[in-house]
Amino acid sequence: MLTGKKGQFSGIFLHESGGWHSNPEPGRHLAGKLLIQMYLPAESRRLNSAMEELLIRFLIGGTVVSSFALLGEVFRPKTFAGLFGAAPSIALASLGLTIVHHGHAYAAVEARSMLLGAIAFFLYASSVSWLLLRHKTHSLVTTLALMPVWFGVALGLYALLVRWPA
Amino acid sequence: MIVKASLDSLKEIKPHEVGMRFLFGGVCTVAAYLIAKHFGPAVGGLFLAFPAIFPASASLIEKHEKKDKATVGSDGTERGRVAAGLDAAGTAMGCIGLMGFALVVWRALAMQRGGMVLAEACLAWLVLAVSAWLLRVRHSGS
Repeated sequence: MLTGKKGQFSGIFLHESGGWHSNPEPGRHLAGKLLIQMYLPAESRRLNSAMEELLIRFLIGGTVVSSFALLGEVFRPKTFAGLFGAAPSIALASLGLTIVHHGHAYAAVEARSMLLGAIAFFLYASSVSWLLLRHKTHSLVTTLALMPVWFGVALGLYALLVRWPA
Repeated sequence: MIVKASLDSLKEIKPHEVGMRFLFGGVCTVAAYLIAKHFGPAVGGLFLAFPAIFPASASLIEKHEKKDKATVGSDGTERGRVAAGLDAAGTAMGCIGLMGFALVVWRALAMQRGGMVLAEACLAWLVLAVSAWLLRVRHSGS
């Protein structure tokens, strides 16, 4: 299997040693070698790099989010512990890599939209709190049923204010 | 109201509960990246403030409170829901900090280094979230 750097190395190996197996038709083998060297390594490198970035983001995101969640478990009273439910965990996991890969301007546009997402989160969490404290509804059902509040407010604010200067 | 920190509460958390938060956190981070990649940073940025583990956390709080009450022979359903509601009220205060975080990153990135901006934004989150919580406590007494 050709993947990323491994693909590049295997291409060089084929070129220098004449192949992994003896081949009765050297010409066909050479064409195959050239194909591998010219196309597959670059393509697979791109795919591999994309997969690596997704994996790194997944691991960093999972670690940061679960760490903040555990930090929240340590504190009492409940209202103080709840602060950590709105810790900038996904943002911290994402923005560092975004700044490195896409630059400051791109990350600034993301942060500007994040402000709208945070306003939506505030309204969503306030509605959930009000329903749970006032009507003592089931917490999982309430949090999931009110999720459209976040989507509605976030996308609504985005639609209204999308023409903001960056 | 005094804030207390106790590591004993961590003993109640089961590994699969941590694993679930890890999974949700990882999936939401990847989803935010993919959304930004396909729809642009202006849409993707919204999802940096997505309530990723909020439903799972609220549900776990209710479950833990019910379990605690069950050990003394009473039904803790209502108490569990109130606990989840109080946690959500705290989360709403945390969101004020989250707005501050986003504002600092947005405005300061043009002038400073990325690492410094993120550190300042975290500080802004902490100060604003705790201040909002203190104001709420003073106002409501709960």
